[in-house]
Amino acid sequence: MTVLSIKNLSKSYANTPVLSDFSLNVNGGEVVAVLGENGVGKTTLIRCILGLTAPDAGQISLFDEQQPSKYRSPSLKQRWGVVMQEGAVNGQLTVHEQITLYRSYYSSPVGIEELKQLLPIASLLDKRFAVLSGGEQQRVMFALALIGRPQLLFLDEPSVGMDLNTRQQMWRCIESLKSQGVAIILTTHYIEEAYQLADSVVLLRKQAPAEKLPIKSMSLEQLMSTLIGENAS
Amino acid sequence: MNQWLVEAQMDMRVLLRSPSFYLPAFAFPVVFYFFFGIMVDFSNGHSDYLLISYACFGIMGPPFFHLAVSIASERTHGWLTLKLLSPMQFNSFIFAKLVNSALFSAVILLLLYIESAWLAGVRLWFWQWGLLTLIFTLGTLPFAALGMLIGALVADRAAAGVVNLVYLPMALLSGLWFPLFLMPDWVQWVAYGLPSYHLVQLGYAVIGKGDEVSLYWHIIYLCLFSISMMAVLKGLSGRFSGSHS
Repeated sequence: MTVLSIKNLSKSYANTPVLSDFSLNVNGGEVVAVLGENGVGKTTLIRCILGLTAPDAGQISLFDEQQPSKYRSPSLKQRWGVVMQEGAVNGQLTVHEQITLYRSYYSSPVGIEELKQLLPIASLLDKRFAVLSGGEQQRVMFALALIGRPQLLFLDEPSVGMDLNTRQQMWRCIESLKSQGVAIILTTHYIEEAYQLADSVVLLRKQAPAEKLPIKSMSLEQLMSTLIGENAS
Repeated sequence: MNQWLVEAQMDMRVLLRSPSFYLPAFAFPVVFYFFFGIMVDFSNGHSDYLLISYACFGIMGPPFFHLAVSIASERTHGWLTLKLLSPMQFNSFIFAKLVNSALFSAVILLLLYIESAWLAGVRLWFWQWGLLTLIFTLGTLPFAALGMLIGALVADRAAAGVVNLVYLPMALLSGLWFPLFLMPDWVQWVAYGLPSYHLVQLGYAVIGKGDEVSLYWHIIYLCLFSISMMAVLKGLSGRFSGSHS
């Protein structure tokens, strides 16, 4: 099942093209990593899909429904989960309270016990979000994104600030979600993370067409040399 | 649990953990009434008149500050964007803030009622206390709408300052601190354009000290003011999600 379909998407800021004629299909159970230097449009791509930024041209279809405007229906939002790079939650509430709040938004939310099994958040539940470290906050944001049992997950730099153990736990969680048929769009600066998790990599480049690389047939060294070669050119 | 209830409950918890919000909101009207209404007695023996004035001043604070500052913060830090990407109903988010502002305003009213009855000997009929509470609790709406507008337009660090720039002059120019007849004529003309003037006139009418203008005009003005603020906000809806860029 095609979960996300993008055709000929273009977006410019002040006459500077960021995304140009970009197309992508993502199926259920597929993990697509979006890689590229800063400023090549990774976050813009996610914002266009989520309806936060209007593209200049192109078509976006989510779960076989065309999205002609920035409006995204509540029923669509029931089916996706989002970790935004700049996203956060009110620091005055505890993690338990945040989870309770976000659970109230969904028709069939994941229980707190189930979340505790998916991610190491048990020790964080009674702490206010504001006192958590950056990595702990990312863990909570990831947990919040899973509350609605998403079929499509957007992870914009999800592991920034996480220690190695937590990052590996998150990777296991992503692999488990993938095996359950969840489609995942991941932007990351960690090439090994993309290599570990993704079925394919979309390489965004300045003033050059985006390229989708089937990385399962590539070694990590080949992927890195492709990326470094692109950065060098 | 119901989304609207949980939203209101969590919003209230945030407020109760913010003494910088509720301590000044409670203290200012109570202290001002004590000095100007009881000690100095600007009303020359009519402490009930100044009770209405400071009640109006007091109930304006929570909707102004809560709506403006919290919405500006939620916008600026991306908290609201994340909520709007979830299936949260935006109306439940606004409802929580309106209800909690009104609850804080009701507590301010109660404190002022106790103070005025105990220290200034104000005596009103039961229906008058009840009607004043109803008018001033519903009367938080226009200020909440204006607070939302400020919250939609300014960054979180500026929100409290902008609210003070609007709130304090509005209170002064509406005759809430000093009776309007003590001020120049032009201030009275400015007062006619302010929602706080029209709200306080409804309060004065309850104790038989309203102006000669029909109460309907005050109510119509307050309704039109709230509706026009909401219409402007509708046009700015993209700013709530950070999607205006």
